Amino acid sequence: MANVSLKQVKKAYGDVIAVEDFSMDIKDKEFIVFVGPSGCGKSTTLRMIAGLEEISDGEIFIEEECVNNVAPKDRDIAMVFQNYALYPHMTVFENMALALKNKHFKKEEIEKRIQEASKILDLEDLLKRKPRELSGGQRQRAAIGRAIVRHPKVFLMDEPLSNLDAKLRVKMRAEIGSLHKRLQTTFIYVTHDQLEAMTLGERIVVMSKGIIQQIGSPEEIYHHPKNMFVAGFIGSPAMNFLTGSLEERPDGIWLFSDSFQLLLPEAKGEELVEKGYLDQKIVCGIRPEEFEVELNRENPNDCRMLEFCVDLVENMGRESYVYFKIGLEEVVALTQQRVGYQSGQTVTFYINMERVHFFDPASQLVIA
Amino acid sequence: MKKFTPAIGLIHITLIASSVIILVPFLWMVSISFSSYGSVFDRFLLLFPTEYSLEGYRQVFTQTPYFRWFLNSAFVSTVLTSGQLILGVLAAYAFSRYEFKWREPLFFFVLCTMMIPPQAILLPTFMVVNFFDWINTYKGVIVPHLANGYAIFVLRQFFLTVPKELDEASQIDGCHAFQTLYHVYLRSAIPALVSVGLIQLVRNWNDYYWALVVLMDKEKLTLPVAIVNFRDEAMIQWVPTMAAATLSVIPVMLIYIIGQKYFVQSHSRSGIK
Repeated sequence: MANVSLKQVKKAYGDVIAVEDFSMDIKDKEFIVFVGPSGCGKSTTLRMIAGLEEISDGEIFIEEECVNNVAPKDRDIAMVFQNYALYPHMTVFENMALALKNKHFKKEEIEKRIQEASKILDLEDLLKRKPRELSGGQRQRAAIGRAIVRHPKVFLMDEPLSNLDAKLRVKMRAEIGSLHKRLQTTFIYVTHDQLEAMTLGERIVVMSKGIIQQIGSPEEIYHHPKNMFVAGFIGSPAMNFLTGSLEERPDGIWLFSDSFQLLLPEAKGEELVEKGYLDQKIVCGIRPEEFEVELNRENPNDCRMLEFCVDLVENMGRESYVYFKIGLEEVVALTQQRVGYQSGQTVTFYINMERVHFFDPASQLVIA
Repeated sequence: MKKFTPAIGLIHITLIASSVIILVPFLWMVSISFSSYGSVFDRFLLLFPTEYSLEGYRQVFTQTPYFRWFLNSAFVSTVLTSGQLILGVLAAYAFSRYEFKWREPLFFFVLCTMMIPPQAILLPTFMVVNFFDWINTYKGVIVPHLANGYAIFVLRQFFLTVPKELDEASQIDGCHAFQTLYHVYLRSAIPALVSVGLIQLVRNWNDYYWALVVLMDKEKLTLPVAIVNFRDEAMIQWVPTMAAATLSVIPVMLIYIIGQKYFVQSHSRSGIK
């Protein structure tokens, strides 16, 4: 158990900068998820914490100790790799025992710890098998077992579920979540899957191009994204972005373009005018679930109506994705209702304007 | 079954023809070794003896220190092969997993040693060995060939196929470099090691030139050099020469039979994961 601090950590491969100015404090027992598209530097950051990658600049602390020059084995961390990285010639037991043997643990202690871990992970019947005799899920559990027998201060997981099929991934995701509660240890978890990030993380670090875009709880990241990247990356289907100009009319502040006109809620409109965006282009971000087919009677004043021609409907059973175009922008709406729309049909949607985000098109930062 | 096509027929004819070309001299050697002294030239291409005799073998065992030569060969080839494997593994590990200055040029240099015919560097190597005063010693036979480009190359290629994560997992598990080498690399490289070891063992067993240059005393000779000893000033004694040659082939054949499984394994593995 330990807190981990990264202070202005940088990683450069020659001229290419993989991670830039990464600073954050990870609290003891916290479950942190690094999420971002591939090549965003999340795995590199994790590998720097593990000590598998040298850092070009900055400092990493594990439990107040600067570990910049500490070898991976002396950092008291355990890592689970995407491809499991189990030693193919050893049984599951031997795989789990190697680190303890290297630390000169007594045989009884090694056995005790492995029994403990295999009970937690349901590996008891598999201890004598070699990795090639295990299924993907079992291998992943063995790899996690190898990590937990060491009782490390910090668990590092590098996309541990991406080699599993969809169903097993959901199951293992839940297992990792409960494992964290049970072990009460700091977890740092890397994934490109925003759903994993949202469900597992106590705090999420969204990264892009080697830079932290936002750090926050899943709710914060989802409902208050700091910029267009975070807004677009988190959430599935992704947030819709529409560009329009801000205009003052007698009845209030409007966002309009050739293909739509939306009256902004008073407070938001005033805020944007105050910030000097009147007659300027701004981007509004609308999550697919903010489109309603039925008018929300409780709050009619803040709902704006748009009429569109449906391109395509994907019926998911419990919900439907309705695709249509606003101007040139492809837009998707998520409706809870079972809808029987046809392509080409004109449908009226209501948008909950209180939940709409506004961004500066140049800086891409949120402005209201 | 595959359909018989002209292409397959052509391949078969080529294979059969090349097998015949390889087998005929071999059968000829065996046949002469079992012939009597007088019957050797009864026929050109004597594939079966016209007059059986074990006189050649008797002469080999009674008139020459054959067992001594056999042991010499066994000693030189096993020590040399073991050394080549050990150095090969260490060099291949470094070339495949460590970043260091001049790594690529150095590896190119290793490849070059495979491209230069050994005869071309015979004289300089001889001078170096002479400088250390190792002429007529096994040190002189073994040491100059310990670093073997072929072994380094093949093992490096094999090590490169080992997932890097395994190496990293072992680092996190607290293995030092040699433990990682053992747990991660050597244990998965056994087919490659056996295959390289067997190929080198046969090559070293059959080495003629270098042993001929370095070794002087009759007692110290290795088999390939010693076999030529059945030649006196006037003529070559074909029957004992062929008997000795036949005997020297037996260990090589045994090695191939035992190692066959691994040869196929390591060659089929080198391409795919």
